Amino acid sequence: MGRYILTRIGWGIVTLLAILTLFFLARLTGDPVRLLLPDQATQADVEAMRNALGLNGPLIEQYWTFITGALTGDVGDSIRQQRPALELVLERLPATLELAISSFLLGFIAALGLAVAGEISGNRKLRSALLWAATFRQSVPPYLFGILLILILSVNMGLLPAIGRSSLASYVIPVLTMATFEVALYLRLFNTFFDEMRANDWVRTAIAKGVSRPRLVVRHMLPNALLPVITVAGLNLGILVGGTVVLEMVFNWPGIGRLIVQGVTQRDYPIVQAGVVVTATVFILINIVVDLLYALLDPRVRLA
Amino acid sequence: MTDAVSTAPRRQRLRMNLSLIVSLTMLLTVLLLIVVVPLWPGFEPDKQSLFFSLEPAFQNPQYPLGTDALGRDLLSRVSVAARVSVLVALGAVSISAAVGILIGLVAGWLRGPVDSALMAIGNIQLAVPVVLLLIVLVAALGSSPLLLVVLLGLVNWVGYGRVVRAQVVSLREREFITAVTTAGGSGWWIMRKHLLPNVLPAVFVLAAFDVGVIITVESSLSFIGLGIQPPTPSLGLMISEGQRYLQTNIGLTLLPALVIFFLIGGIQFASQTLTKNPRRG
Amino acid sequence: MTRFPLTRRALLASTAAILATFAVSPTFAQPDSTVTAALVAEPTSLNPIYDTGLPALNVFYNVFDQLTGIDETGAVVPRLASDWSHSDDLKTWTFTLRDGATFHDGSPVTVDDVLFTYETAMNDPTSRLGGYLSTVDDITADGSDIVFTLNIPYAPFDRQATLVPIVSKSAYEQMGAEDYARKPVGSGPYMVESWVNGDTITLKRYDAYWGDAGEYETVVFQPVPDETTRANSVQSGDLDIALLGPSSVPAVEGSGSAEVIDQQSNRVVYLGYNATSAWLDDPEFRKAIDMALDRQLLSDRLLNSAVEPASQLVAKVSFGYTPDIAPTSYDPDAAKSLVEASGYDGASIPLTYPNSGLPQVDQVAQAVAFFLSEVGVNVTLDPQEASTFSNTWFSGGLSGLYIFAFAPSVMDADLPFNMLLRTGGQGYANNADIDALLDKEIGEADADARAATLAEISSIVTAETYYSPLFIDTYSYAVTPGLDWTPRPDGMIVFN
Repeated sequence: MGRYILTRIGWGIVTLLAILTLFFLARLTGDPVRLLLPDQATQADVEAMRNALGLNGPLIEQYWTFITGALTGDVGDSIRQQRPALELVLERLPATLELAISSFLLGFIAALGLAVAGEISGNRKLRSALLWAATFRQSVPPYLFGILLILILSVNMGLLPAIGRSSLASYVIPVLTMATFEVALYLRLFNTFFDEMRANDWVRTAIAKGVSRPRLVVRHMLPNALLPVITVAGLNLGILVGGTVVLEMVFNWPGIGRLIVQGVTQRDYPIVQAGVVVTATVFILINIVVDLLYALLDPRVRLA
Repeated sequence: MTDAVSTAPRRQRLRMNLSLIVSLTMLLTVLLLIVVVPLWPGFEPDKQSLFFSLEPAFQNPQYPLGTDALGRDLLSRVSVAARVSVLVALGAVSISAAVGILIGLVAGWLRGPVDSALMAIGNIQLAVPVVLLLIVLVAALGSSPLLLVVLLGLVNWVGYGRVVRAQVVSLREREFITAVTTAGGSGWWIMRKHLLPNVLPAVFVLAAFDVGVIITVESSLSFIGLGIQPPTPSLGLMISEGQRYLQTNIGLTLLPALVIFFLIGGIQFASQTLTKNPRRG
Repeated sequence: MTRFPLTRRALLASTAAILATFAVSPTFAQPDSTVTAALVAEPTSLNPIYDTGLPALNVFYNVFDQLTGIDETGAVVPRLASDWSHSDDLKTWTFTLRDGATFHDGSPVTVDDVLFTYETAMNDPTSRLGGYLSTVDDITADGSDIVFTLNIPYAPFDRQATLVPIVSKSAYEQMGAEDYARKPVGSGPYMVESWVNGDTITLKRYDAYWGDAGEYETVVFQPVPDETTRANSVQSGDLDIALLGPSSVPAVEGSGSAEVIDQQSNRVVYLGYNATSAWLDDPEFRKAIDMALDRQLLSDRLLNSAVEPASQLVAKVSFGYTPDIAPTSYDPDAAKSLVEASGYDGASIPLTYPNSGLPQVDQVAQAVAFFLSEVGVNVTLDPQEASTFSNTWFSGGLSGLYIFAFAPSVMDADLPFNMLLRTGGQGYANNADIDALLDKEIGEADADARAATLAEISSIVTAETYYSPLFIDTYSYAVTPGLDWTPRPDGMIVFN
């Protein structure tokens, strides 16, 4: 198990290095200094910046400076805010993580609960209704759902805050928007695997032997479905995090996504770089956790 | 309780048919919007007439669904926007599929270090969220519709690559491939003649679902102003413009929103008829 | 289709009990209350030496004092300087520092602090504030007097002084520029309590303020760049004050959950020409474009009559406005024949504009492009991120047509004219007559004479069509009902 974890972490570091290298290569295309400096910069400013960044040295040396700088957390100062870019990004990270993690947990647990309840009840109509509701929700992109929730709950009814993250209430609409999307996704997945299992011989045998339905679903069917659902959850994370970026714009949420979009439009390159590296790191960590969960649930993986 | 299980197959078929009907209705509606509206004599997506700004729906026969703030015909614009979104998504998915098939075939056939390297590249790419990657690329390279298609296509090949590779790996151990190899068939020939036809069905299923995903991604990008740029209409852009009038002219937002809903819903409800969801990897 | 099915009334009826508890909450101006106001963008720094943008200036107006201030009518009033005078040649200005003003750390405001602020700004080439002070040759202290020696006669220098917030020398040196930018120490009615990046800037009332006390215990500034989000957030109760886009005004007025307060602004939105680029170097061609714009329709229809057609580069509330010039009348036929006469070959001309910060600017740009296409001129839209655009504009790098605005917080035509018209400035007029008139007006101590010279400049701009002023903006604010707050023509949100 220890070796397995080490391998996963090793892969994570390789991935990060690769992303950094890609960034380094991207910097080489076009003049990075022109991107880094405001438009009214003079040629003298450009030269000064080149020297400051060590861009006049040999490539290998530049690469080494870049990678070591990035790995020690020094990606330079934000051009607009004149503060270390990494510091700015890390200040914004909690807001994004709160939103992403709370909606994931809420969504996943609700989906699990609904799927299990539907399966235990054995009521086809209930299951079907849940499935239809889930598909409807999945057909509305999160940003659109968010706009409509704000219109109804905040603007028309004045019940909940529309922006910011000042109070607990201000989490409700953003989390609801994300979580309902995730409920829909995982509910449909659980349902698919339950459907598959229901036709299996061991389920029929268990029913014939008089195993109670709640026990059958919770003790036997659920653990089997959990495994593939977690895999898909790990793979879908990218899309969900991407969705958060857009939602942060809708809810004026002070997270990392809005910062990166702002960095991109203002050509604040260090911010973008720090943002992408931090997001990728978080992402890799989450994937390692998913892999570990997987290994815990399925002993065969350890041998692989 | 056991009754529910035993009658499952019959009821299930019934449900599948209903969702298929819903799906087809949704997709056909959008198809009609895209194909038929441009034939209508009043089709003028770019013509402004500020004098008729924000005309409500069903009031003026010249503008059956009303106008936007610049007095442009909403029906015409939403038709063009739907066309743009669908074409962007189809183009992007074709590119993803083509790149994914190529990489998957090569990786699965050659195995060894080439395979490891290609799949590692895929894993690395998956470590950056797609929307984030697109935002950075669009900012660096621009966002003309054509470029957007290419970028959307290139960031999304990994799923196809993995599926194709997995299939090729299992196929190449099969007898008929081994037979062809021993008979002296070249690698490329085997890939084209024997492997490609076998992997295509899985690729098509994946591509069908991806169209919905790409429509969501493109409309999100356009919504935050980093996708399709005005004056070209796109669904996300129309929603972003219409949002200003949400309380007074909700139609401006609702119309493009419905088209998105029909497009994604059409694909999602179709997926409900298939028992399996697309699983990548 | 025009109304959302969930009407307010239906929802209210079903949830009356819940809502009743929320209905009592609107913030009235109480001495101990909190007020939350939206900024249209987040300041990049709270160090006044480096950030001179309007969002930052808005915070500075609450946190800092300047030597002089601008009141709600646009007049110059004393602030840290209790009194000031100038020599007859307008080249020597003497400001007398008032007694009793203290910084938020309790230390008194001295002439040293004033000298330090001006000198730091003038000596650092990267200081944006220093850019406003190019006319200052020398600054010295004489008891409680500060004496400025200028290199040219400069009539509105007392207005210029409103742009320079006075920093605390000891705090600035102790904290260093970087930390000071996070939590500056000023002498204004409010002090900075915290700045949560991307979210809020929280100010607390400074009880020992020498002047009009702050009306609120706590002031929260929240950057909300999106117009619609601002409108929504006042209606939902998250914000108390927010600038609206013209299209949001009817919705907010009709909602009943917020009031709309209008204030005629100092901002003119204009169409600019790079008068040195192809086709636009022909004054007749520029005139054709000018006549092709239907300003009235634009104002009435697209912008909800919330603005009025503009005739010149300064707004009615600013010094230097002349009523003698009328907005250009819409005349597409004359425009078309002028375009034909110019020999224009149909080449596409870029229309660059900032994608945020101006009212409905994307729609205005599309409307302008359409007006021009109707008279045969082809335009390519080129939206840029606001700060990128502003840099391009500042460096004179715009290649064709552009849309931008000028809102001089000094409320005087001198600043916009110098930037937009003087050769070597941010415009493309390169007109020796204008340069000469600018040199003349700045030295005119008599206000009427100066106004006449400024009017003369405006008439040259009109005759040569160096710019096509589009409309004078109205600042419409959504405000929590009952809130006691007065808007200002310079768009600053101030709470004392």
